[in-house]
Amino acid sequence: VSALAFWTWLAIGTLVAVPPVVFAFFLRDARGILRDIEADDGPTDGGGAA
Amino acid sequence: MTTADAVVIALYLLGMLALGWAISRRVTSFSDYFVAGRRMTAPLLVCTLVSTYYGLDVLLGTSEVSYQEGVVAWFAYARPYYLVILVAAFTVARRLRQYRFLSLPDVGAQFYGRGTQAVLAVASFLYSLPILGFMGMGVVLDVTLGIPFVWGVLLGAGVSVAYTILGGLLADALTDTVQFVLMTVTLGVAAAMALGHIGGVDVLRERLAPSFFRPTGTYPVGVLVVFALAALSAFVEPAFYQRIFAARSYRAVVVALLVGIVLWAAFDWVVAIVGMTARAEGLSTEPRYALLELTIRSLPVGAKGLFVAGVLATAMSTVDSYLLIAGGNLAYDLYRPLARRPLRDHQLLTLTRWMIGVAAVATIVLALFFRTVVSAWIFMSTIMAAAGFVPIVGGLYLKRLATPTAGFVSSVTGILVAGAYYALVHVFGAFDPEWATQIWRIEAGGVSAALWQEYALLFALPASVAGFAAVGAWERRRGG
Repeated sequence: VSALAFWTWLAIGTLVAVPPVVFAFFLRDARGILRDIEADDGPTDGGGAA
Repeated sequence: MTTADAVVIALYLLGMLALGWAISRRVTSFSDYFVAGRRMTAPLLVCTLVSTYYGLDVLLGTSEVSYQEGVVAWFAYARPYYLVILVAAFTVARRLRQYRFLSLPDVGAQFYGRGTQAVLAVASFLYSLPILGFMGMGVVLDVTLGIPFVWGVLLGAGVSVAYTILGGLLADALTDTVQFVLMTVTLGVAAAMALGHIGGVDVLRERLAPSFFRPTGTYPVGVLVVFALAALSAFVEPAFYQRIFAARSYRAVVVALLVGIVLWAAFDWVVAIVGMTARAEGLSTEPRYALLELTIRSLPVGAKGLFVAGVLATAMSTVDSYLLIAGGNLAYDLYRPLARRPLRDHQLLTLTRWMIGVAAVATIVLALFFRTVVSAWIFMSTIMAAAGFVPIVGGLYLKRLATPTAGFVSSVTGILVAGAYYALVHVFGAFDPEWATQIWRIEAGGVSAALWQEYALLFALPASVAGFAAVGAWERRRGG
């Protein structure tokens, strides 16, 4: 296998395989984030650092 | 395209709207809306960073360069960004997490006061208007579904604006996760099918000139230096900052950026190879649309619709994020500090939603006005880097020189020099059809120089550094 073919198929494999794994981890976190936001009333002024 | 393909695209657009509506019922504060309550975890950050930072400019622009020049699209243009993002992850991101900022102009306000905050807000607003994204959606819907360009812009923009106004950063990030998977997986599958169609990757070497495989291509050294320098804009990327502020922890930022760099590198490489495959196939099309035409030709029915949805996802995941930032620049960074009475949280939230609408209208007007969008985009990036890079890095690392006047002078000097350079190149230069850009050729005393409009940052950054250092040192001496 040439270097060009190796890196190309590695890149294609990364694009096809890694995002679904990241998405699975995201699904694990998503419910907790939504629950936290529903439970929290948030700050009462529009303040940031400034 | 068949009815099945059109149904897939319609389902995708409706799904995005439904997600935005569902999130809007849970968002009650400005912090929830603008930085997702600072609760974003590493996986969510990976999805939103990767999909936001990569829009149609990358998908169509990188494939355009590789179609014409080869792998230089990856080595010279894309690779410097990974290095800058890697450095930023371990330096600027760590320092920024020590403060409770909500936006990039907040950094200017913290170190220099309202003047610099306003300059950075204007620069960030201009930079964030997603002109290319709006135009790109119009082109994609026109090329694939035959929807007239203006209606395509209004449809794509309308859906993005609606769910962003409804749900803010969380809706943006959640839709980004779907869009992230869609855009990466469909590109990977489409590339594999296109390469299978021509008989494998190594066929490219047989059909293309050796210069296509040279990491520096045929570009002049000056342009390669400008490409590398342009990557510094990652240090003042408003969307990058917003996600650092929205992260649950610094560790989540670092993990997300490291995973993101791997995915960005893979995405860029595949896009570059697809552009070269289109060239090897002898596809006679406008280089910019080579990737679209090749993949649509290679994919079966149903998969075409999924790929178009993936391309729309690439555009929408960028459009929504930058519209949110542009709306925030108007409401939070520009109006709020000037308001006579402090804004209550719900007032700021409502105002930001309205300002997203204003930013969308401004973008549509500019999208229909500008004919050379890439030039407009490069100009906006230059203005952002010229206005923000020196005062922000100076405020974070050179506190002894970071006086309010030094920050303001540095920021304004950067913008003025960049603007003046552009004006000179456009008044005295001419459009060069070979490089498709404005170039001012100067000859004096037997020495000639070609000043590309893209070189503006080479003059603006040193001027901004000089303004910052001179004023900072002078005020320090005067004060002590």
